[in-house]
Amino acid sequence: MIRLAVTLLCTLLPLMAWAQSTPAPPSKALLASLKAKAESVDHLTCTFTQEKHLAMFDELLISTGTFSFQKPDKLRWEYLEPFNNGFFLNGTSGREWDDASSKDREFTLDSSPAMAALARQIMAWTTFDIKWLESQYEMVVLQTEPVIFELTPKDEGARQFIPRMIIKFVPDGSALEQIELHEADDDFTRVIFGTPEVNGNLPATTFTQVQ
Amino acid sequence: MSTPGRLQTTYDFLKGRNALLYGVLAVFLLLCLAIFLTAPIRTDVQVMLPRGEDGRLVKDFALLTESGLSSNVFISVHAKGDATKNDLVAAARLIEKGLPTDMVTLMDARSINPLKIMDFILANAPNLMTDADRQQMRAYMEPASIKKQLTDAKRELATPQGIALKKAIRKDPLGLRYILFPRLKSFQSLSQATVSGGHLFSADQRAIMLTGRSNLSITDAESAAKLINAFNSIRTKLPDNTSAELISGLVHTNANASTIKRDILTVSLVSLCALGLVFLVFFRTLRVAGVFIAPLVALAAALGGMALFHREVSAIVIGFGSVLIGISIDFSMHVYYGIAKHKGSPGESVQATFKPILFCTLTSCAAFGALYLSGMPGINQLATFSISGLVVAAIFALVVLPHMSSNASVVSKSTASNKSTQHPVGALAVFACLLLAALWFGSSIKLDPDLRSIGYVPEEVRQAEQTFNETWGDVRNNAVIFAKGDSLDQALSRNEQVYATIRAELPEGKPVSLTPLMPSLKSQSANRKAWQAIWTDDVRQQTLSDIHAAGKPLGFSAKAFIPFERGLNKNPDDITPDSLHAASLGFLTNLLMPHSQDAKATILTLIPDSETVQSVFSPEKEKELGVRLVSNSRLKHTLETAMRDDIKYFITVSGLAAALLVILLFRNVRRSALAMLPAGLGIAMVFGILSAANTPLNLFHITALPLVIGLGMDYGIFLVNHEVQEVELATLPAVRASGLTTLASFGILILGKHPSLHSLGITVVVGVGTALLCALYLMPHLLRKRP
Repeated sequence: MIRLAVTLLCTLLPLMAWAQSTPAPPSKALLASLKAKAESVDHLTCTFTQEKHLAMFDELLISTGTFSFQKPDKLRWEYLEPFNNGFFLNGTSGREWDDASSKDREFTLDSSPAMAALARQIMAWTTFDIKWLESQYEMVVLQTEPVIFELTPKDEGARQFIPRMIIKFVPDGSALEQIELHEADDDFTRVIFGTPEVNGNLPATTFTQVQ
Repeated sequence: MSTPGRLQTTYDFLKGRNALLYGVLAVFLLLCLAIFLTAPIRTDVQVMLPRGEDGRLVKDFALLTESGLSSNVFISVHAKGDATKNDLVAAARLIEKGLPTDMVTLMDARSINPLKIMDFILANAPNLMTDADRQQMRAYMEPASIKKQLTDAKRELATPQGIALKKAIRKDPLGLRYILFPRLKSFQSLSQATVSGGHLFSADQRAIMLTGRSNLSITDAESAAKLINAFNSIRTKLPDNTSAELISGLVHTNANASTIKRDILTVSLVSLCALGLVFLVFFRTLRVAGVFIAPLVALAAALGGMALFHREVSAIVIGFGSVLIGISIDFSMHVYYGIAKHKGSPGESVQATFKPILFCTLTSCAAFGALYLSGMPGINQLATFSISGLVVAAIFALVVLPHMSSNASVVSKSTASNKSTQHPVGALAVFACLLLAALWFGSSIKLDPDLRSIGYVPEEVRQAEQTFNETWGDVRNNAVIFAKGDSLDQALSRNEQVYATIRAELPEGKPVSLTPLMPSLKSQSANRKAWQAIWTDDVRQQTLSDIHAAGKPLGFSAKAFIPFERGLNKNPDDITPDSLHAASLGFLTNLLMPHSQDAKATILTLIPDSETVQSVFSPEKEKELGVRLVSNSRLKHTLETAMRDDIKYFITVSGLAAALLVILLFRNVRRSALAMLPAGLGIAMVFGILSAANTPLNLFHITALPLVIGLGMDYGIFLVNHEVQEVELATLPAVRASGLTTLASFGILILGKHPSLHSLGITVVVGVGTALLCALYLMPHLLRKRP
């Protein structure tokens, strides 16, 4: 009997471990829980550090900046170091700037499809728009505590640029902690979010002025 | 013996020889139909185009047909309300899967690969760069410029967009893409569409466009209906928050065919009822059947005559002619009424009607014969068609009909003239006012030379096309410049000259041309040589060294720009249509390099149509460059000129001929003028009423004018002839019955929705109606012997 139990354990334990580590699509409960936490966020601001791991550079390219969001459709993505550039979106129009090239222009989502696509991505992750995300990506869960997703774009064109994305949430699932965008040639970009301030004070000019 | 005497003798000879009479008639009709059946029938609209100078208009139309632009099919899928991009994509996919592939081949937008396009342009920089471009490139090769480019590149690589730019930066550290990529901008004027997820999205991302080519003939109404039914069936399955519209020439083909079918059914039913009413009021006897057979005999003769004198017969001409030949009933009506009224032998009655019928035939033939002056081959065919029918109708009325109607009878009624005599001044005043008003308005009549307006466009199609143009831009109304050549390179060279001309003389022209991506082979070769002359081994080494020197402090690795180095060592082959296909730009060659029927290489340049464009591409310039510009506005202008000339010549010649004939007949100025009054008033009213209703005169109005002149002259000649004839022939009742029969059978066309039928109908109702009213209510006051 003991021998049988040991044999069973020896057989089942690796299987259980395998079952736990095999990536699987996220359960509805997990998605609903993340969605519920995202819904509690009306506005937020945080810092970010971006690491570019590119073979064409001998060094790691590190940039830092801030990210702000306010429901339903306002966001600001701004690099502060080593270059100052970024954009904000307020509804369907916004502004982008680049200090180095003295670029400062207004845009609308209608006239700038690339900006619209970028804003749509950021907005979808911040609000955890499950319907949209599921339509764009194949999602699997790599880890549940904290939650880590691996995503593969469904669109072939998008896959040519970024075949794989890794998304990591903070332990309580209320915000993103890290995003990794993996390119086809093994280069990748990692964005690490820090010091999130959820529903705190947000300057009134965040989504209206370059500052 | 006089001619009328011979007619009476003929009647007497044929009396009792019905087998001979009807046998000859049957043989004649069979012969006509046999001749007609041997002639090839054309169904295209080209026959209605003026030949113009050197037949240019016909050639232009053939070029447009050959360009294949008319076989393009566009489907615009629109989001409504809260529909998301995904809903749009789902709707587009439903349509893609559901459309019959044997009818439409949709272009796969996924085949447009921006990376491939970018690679193609950078790899072909030696082929594409012009002198000006190379001048600019030299500045980009300076160390200071390289340093700036690499600094910018590093900054761009740090942004979210950097992922998409990385490959381009590795292949092009000098930034030559800023010189080369603007040439793609010219294709933006094709549409404001952007490719995303394998679909073409509108600028506001609220619509997707599916494009394709149809292998159906533009005249194949049956297949067009099948395609549209298939599309409508898919449309019912689309989500509620999306809609879709099919934009294609086939939609017009289907709309026109189905509308004409419906119109013919409606018009036939109403016409039958109206003719039945005329029958009940005026005849109530089957002896009148011969009168109604007359147009059928005339039709057979007209078909045979047209086939005999023209190599090909036009289906359009047959359609219009069959309506116009209705005039032939007039002669039979007069003969029938004459026989019914005359107490003696039918032969005597026929004798009495011979002279007016002869002159009526001559004036009608003159009216239709004036159509020979038209520059439109179709109108010339119509002249042959009508004259053949009229001559035979006259012979039928004079020779055959009397034997069919020897016991003719009509319902006795008091004539309109009896009533009209009570108010002669009033009638004169009314007609004088009408004439003045008609002349006043008619003098400012406008012409409608737009070929598209002679087809039926349902309101929903008009709206769909308007929405399409607002969403995607009005590409279909561009002028098209055709560059043909015996070889691809000759066509490319001519196309290149077109592009150079536009750049030099129309800087705001926004052409869509292949030249920026595929110059002539000669230019490509010259560009390559000039490129190689710049990029000597020393210059390469120096530039690579400068790049390395500028990149190292910025952190770029030694291998960062290896793709650029490899590119410099390559000498690209000529750019050909196959190269463009390989670079996922095949949709451009499909659009701009149609297969030519004359086996010549053909390349198109599209440019927004304007007067300036037309003035630059004058006939002299076209000859110099060996190209041809075809545009809707130029076609319109040529058509308008041809129509204006046609009307001018037509009215003048038919008016003069009619005047000469009536003068010859009556040898009296008053009688001649009176005989022309109904026709003149009828024509004036057509012009006046159309002008007052702001309806420009189109081809169909013009082709119906001979009917008004012919019938109007008939009424006038018969009534005036009544003054001089000795035999009582019941002229006024015959005119009334003839006019009402014409209105009942052809005026009813006014109920048609299709512009062709409606235009014919309105011309008949206004023109013949006025001539009839004039004959019935005005002429009796002006004649010395009341009919």
